[in-house]
Amino acid sequence: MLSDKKLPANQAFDIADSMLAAAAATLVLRRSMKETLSDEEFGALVEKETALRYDADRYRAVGITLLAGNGALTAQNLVDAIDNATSAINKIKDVGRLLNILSGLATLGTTIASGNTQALLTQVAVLRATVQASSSPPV
Amino acid sequence: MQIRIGIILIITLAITGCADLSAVKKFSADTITLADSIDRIAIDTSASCLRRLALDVPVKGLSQETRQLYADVCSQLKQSSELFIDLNRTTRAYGRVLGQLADNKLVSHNAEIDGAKGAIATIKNGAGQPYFEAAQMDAVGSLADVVLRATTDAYRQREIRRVLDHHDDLVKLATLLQTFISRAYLPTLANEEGNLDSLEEIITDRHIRSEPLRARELLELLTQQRANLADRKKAANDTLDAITKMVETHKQLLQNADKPDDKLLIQLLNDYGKQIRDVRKQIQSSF
Repeated sequence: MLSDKKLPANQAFDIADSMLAAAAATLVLRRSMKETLSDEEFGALVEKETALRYDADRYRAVGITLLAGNGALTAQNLVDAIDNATSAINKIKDVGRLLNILSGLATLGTTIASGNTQALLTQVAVLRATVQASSSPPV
Repeated sequence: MQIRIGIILIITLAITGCADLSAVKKFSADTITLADSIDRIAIDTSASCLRRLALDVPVKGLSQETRQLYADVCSQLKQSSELFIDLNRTTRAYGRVLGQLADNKLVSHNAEIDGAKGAIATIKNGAGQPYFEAAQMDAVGSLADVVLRATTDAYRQREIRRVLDHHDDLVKLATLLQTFISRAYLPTLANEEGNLDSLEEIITDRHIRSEPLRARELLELLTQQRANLADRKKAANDTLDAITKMVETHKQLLQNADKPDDKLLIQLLNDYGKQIRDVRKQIQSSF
């Protein structure tokens, strides 16, 4: 019953609403007959009303699951649009990354010209880190 | 030469300037807050079931077996609400991506250009003097920023338009969010409220004579729960209105994304913003 995928979300919500209405009716019945009910009858009505309330929850949960499932399909176009826009943002950020690499290359060029081996090694490491940072996905 | 560069710069700056996308940014921020509010509501759906169970146990004297059975039902509600929270991530992501595209920081490369200028400044000629003059580098750097900004500005405006063009898809998502609140959350609160009436009658009919102190304590608790429920219902109804305002504002934004002076857009953005502030306040005090 709960895994019946043919059941539309609205129908599951309708069933849940009916359960809730039945629980409310049971309460009204208990209220109207409270002077005449025995303890056992009173207890049975409370038990029935309580069970109906949780049955309503059960069908409500089914309705929400079905709604979320339909929603995932419905929202797919939006998800695609968000993905495309995120790619566009990354392209714009790539301009900044490219400038960082160019900056590193310029410094490397200067260091090579100076003939300082230690500085050269340091600068190569810096540039490698810049390139690696530029290749990783943006935060 | 420097004068010519300066003139080109002034003209280019005058033509390009950063686009005013403040309306898109405002819409984005409010929509992210709306998504957060909807998450809180979704979480409270199963919490409502658990609040009911917490009162059912002492007042109705549920057996351990029945208690476990009903706890499992609340757990089913929790699992289904989590699926809905997953879906609601799309709302937040939609707001966030619009906000990122509308942020002028995205198209400013000043920091990177300064880095490049610093590197170039270290290049020396044979006499140990800087190869490029500082003024030349500043001019080239500014021009680079303007050209990059102009290019990326047009690009991001086109991307914003592409995102906003999905108005019909956003309407469908909004309908789902409203269906969740009106057909799942509010009826769950109605269930909790009806149960409070039922519990009150059980206490006054059956417990007040045998356990008067405990009964009064429970009745006070029910009164408090009722007040909280009224606040939560208001928060849910305010959120429903906020979703409607989101759709109306989005429609106007689609037509006037680059016209922040459009009167109707300003009014709709203000209404949407006010509604979101109300929702946030209501949610903070109710949950």
